[in-house]
Amino acid sequence: MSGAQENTIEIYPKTQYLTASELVAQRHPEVESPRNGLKRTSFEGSAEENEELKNTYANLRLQLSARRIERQAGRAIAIWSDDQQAAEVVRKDGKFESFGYSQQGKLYLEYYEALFLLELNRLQLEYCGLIVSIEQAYVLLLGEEASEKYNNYFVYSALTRAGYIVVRHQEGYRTASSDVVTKDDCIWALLDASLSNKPVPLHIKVSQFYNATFERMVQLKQQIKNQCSEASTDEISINNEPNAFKFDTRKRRAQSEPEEELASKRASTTGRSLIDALKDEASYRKFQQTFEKLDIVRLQSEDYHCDVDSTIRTFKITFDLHLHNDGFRRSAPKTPTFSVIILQHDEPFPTHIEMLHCQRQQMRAEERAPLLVISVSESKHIQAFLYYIS
Amino acid sequence: MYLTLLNGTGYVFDVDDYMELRIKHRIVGALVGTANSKGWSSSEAALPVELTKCETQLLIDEGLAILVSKAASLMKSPTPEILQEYQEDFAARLKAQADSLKAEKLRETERHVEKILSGKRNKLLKQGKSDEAAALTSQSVIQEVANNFEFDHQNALVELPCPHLAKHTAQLWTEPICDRDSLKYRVFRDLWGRGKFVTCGDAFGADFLIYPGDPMLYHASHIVIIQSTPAIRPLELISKVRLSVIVNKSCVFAYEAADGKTIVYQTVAWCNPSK
Repeated sequence: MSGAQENTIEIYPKTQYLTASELVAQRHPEVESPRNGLKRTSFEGSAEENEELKNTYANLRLQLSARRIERQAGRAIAIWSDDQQAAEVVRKDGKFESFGYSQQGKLYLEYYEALFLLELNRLQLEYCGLIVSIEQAYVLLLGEEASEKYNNYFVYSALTRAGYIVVRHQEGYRTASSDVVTKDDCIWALLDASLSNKPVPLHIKVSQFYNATFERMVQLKQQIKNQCSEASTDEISINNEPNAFKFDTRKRRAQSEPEEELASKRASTTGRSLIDALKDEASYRKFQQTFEKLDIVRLQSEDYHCDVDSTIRTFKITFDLHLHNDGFRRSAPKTPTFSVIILQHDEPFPTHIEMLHCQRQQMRAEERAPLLVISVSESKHIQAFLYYIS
Repeated sequence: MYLTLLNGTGYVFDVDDYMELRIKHRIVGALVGTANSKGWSSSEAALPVELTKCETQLLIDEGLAILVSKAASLMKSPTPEILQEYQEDFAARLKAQADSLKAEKLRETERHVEKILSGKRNKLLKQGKSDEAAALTSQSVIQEVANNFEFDHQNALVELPCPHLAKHTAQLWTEPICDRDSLKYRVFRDLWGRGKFVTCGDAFGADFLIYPGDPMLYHASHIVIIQSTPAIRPLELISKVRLSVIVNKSCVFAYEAADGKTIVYQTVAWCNPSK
């Protein structure tokens, strides 16, 4: 942006809008992708070669000259909003099953969806009352700075044309799809928020249980810190003894220990052991009851040592891929077929541990899809690698 | 010729500009647009073209194109005057189509006039008006369609142009797009200056590919690998040369001479003394 501001240039486009008769004539372009014969290995400058070159260029020009013409009532219309970085659909045309997202009763298109439909001549995008050109759309939607948006759009376009339903990556399908938010959902969302710094989703926040759960967790946290149970309503506290969790560190006699100490050795081996004796302690019973209330979850071995290493990079899952014949519904998406990670130019592929880390971001194991790692090369070739982690 | 600054490099939206770059200046770039063709074919690409950073910088340095930033101009909301002018212009363009659309409708009617005629006759015969049916001619059908044609704005055609067609302003971009002193850019410019097509070499894991003619019609002849030092490690030499021999190309190592000014090329080609 810091380029010289004084160097303003007036641009008078060379191309004009088509005239009425040209519009009618070019409305249905019949462009076949040029079929060139075998490539040559050296330049010989023969007449035949020149002719071939001329034809090839003519075909390319024809292919690239295809216009985007449609009846005024024949396209969907959307309005681009700079603030929201999304296009609000104001007139639908055709099926929008796998495009856009709804928010407060309005349908919005993501930048890549809007640009894709625009380039396919299915959408008329408007900005400040003007119908935008493709060039303006690139400036508005993708921006002039080098950005991952370009690769995202490129990959989105290629995968969508290849027949996949491509949607922005979503987490927590089950909660998002079911309308009923339970107390458990609130607890999980809050845990997620405090442990992995994920924001609490909106649909959880508006739940009737949310505030109660939130306060309850703050209380519990306090109690765990203070190691005492002041609140009599506390489920964990069994009685109202204030010092119940304090250990008695003094040396003391077992209550069952008989008076004559000499005989005690034999007595202890035959009768009750010292450990058993301790089991009668009030504090022991309290711990036992407390632990019975806890769900002890065994961590998988892969869960260790992941978070400690600060050299691992975090990879973001950009898209989820669904198949067309899987009964995809925008309102209730199922587990995707693949999750897509897009590498930026020259970015090294993720290591095994980085893969695991990335997959673990998806909360529930059964919703983790195989990762499809896509790299876009400088010459705009897409290479995709599917990773299965065993 | 103007290049639009996007994604930190130059973009071309105009087909004439692109053909000129390709035919006259041997600059290929990459077609990144989505083609508006039926069937959503994944193989067809369309404008715009994204130029590599080397290509953009070369076109600027050779004085063949001017890189401009259009963000400020195309993102600001138009003044009421401009908006009104645009809307009047738009309405005029729709209105101007009335005659053309009518002519098109008549042309289509004429094409299918036999079918329409027999359909209308059958309808009249069913109603028992055999006299009128016999009197019906193709001329009268066309005349009827012509008389009944009403121009509806909803049917007017709207074009979504690729380059921005309204008069607009842009800012000259003066900052370099890539490091002019980098070996990569100097090699690119030097090879291009020798009259070859030079493209990215990532398809073969190299820095550049050299083509004797347009890549649409010719196979690459050389694979160029840029070396930061003149000394080439044996394993690297073997792997790069083996690849280039298999794909029937020569392998070129490019590096800086000790003086730091000139570029040295070392070409490795398959040698068969028995022939």
